[in-house]
Amino acid sequence: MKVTYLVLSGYNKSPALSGEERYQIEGISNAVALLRRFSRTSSRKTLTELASEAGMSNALTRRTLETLAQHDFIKCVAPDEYELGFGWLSLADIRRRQVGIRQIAYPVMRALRDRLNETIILSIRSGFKRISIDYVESSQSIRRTAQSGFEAPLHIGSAGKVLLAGLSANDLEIYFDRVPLIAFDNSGYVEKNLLRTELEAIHKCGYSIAYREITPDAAAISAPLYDHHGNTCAVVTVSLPADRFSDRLKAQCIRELLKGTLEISTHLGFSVINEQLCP
Amino acid sequence: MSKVSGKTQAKAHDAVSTVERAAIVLSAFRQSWDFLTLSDVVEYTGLTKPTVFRILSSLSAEGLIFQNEANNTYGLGFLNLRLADVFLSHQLLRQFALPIMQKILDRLNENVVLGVRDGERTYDIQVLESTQVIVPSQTCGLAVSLHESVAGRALLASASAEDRASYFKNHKGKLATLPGGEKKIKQYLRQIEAVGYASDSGGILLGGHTVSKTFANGKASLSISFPLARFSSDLEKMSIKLLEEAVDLLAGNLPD
Repeated sequence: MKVTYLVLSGYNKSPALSGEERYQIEGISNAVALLRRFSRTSSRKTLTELASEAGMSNALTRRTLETLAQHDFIKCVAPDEYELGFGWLSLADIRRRQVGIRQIAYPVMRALRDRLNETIILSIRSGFKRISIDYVESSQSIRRTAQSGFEAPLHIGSAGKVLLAGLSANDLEIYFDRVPLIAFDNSGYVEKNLLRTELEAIHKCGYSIAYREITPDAAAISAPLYDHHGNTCAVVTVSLPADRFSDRLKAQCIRELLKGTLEISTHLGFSVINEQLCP
Repeated sequence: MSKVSGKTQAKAHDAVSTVERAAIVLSAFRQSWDFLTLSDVVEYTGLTKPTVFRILSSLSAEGLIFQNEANNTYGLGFLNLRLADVFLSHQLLRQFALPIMQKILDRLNENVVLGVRDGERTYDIQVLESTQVIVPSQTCGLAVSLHESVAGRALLASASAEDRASYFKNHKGKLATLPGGEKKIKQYLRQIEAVGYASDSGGILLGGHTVSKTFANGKASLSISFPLARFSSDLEKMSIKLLEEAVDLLAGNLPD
């Protein structure tokens, strides 16, 4: 079977592609299709396996692999047996230095704001706190304002709870041991068992909703961003005036937010089927 | 019939030469940690602008390139992370070394580097970076000939006489261009053999000092690197001690 899923975005939409250009794109698609066949559970592959899985001839597969091997992207470990090469390490290293989470998230946050016209906030965890690092504000006359550098404990507000839900069981216990679960307005304590149940629910459904929790007249929905290891590395929040928070808008916000956060996570290297590179 | 086969061959040739060009374009991103413009990539690769544009667009659709639409620049895409992750997942030495490397980092707060030998080259596969303000910049996955780095020389020193002789034979031309030539490298290797570790400044880590020790029968090295400005004999001694302890621990833990 020929691989056709690879160039669906962008280039092949152009009607002006010549035959030669199509072959060129096909060459890259084929090469990436071969690379994607390697996974954590299947790190070594034979020529025949690769050719049959990518729907390519043995001859073309061999030539493509040889070309990639010349650049350290593939390593021939035995006759007709291949693994990924060292070359990916340097590119991954540079990629980590090149692209900050803010840079990746911003265009998606802006698109999310344009669709919902509500304020979108990006936050990360710093120790036991959640910190806002970027935002795109709504253009509506009544809007939730945002502020970079705003801090709150993790057990309060939708963004913090998403980050808390993403902690390992061990780290969560450390949080409970060290941080007094005081409500944001100092009005009392958050009940630990209730919070645990809430965190489990967030973990299960993939988002968190807070109503008048940190700011008395605001509501918020937050969803996690995952890195290439599948760990929660940041959180995106849609925040809006509480009196605009209808059931209909809530449903729309959840839908759009989950779509947006998945898009950002994918750019961060997260794969829904994390163990398998195949689409 | 032969015409069809000729066309098919030409098609396959086009496809493969595009892979070659795509690999060159990707490699251009090793030249800089910054995002690159189309013109930067054209300059680094020597390919034409339309070719580079087409390749970048295709690589971007595949996830190997990330296009920053705000300023029309290109960076590396998420797929690089995933492929590197797959590569690292089957590096057994790394799995054993990582917790030990972390302990060294916690003690010294200087870069701790795991390198592996592959033929006549060495590659850093894991760098645990110091949190200090001034740190050596070390990128994983770059191929370095054994004689060019401190870790590589430690690996070469632990190789068999036959292996070493073959290395010197294959690198005769390259070694002759070095100050002191082959003789100096051989002298250096004898020194490493005598003390059991390599410790040197400069080389490919300009302005840095590296202490290195091999393990796994000369297949891998553990190194500690720091800026030359922080060098002291105490830091060097401590680095040697921690590396010796680490290598002993690894020798007990590694499967045969």
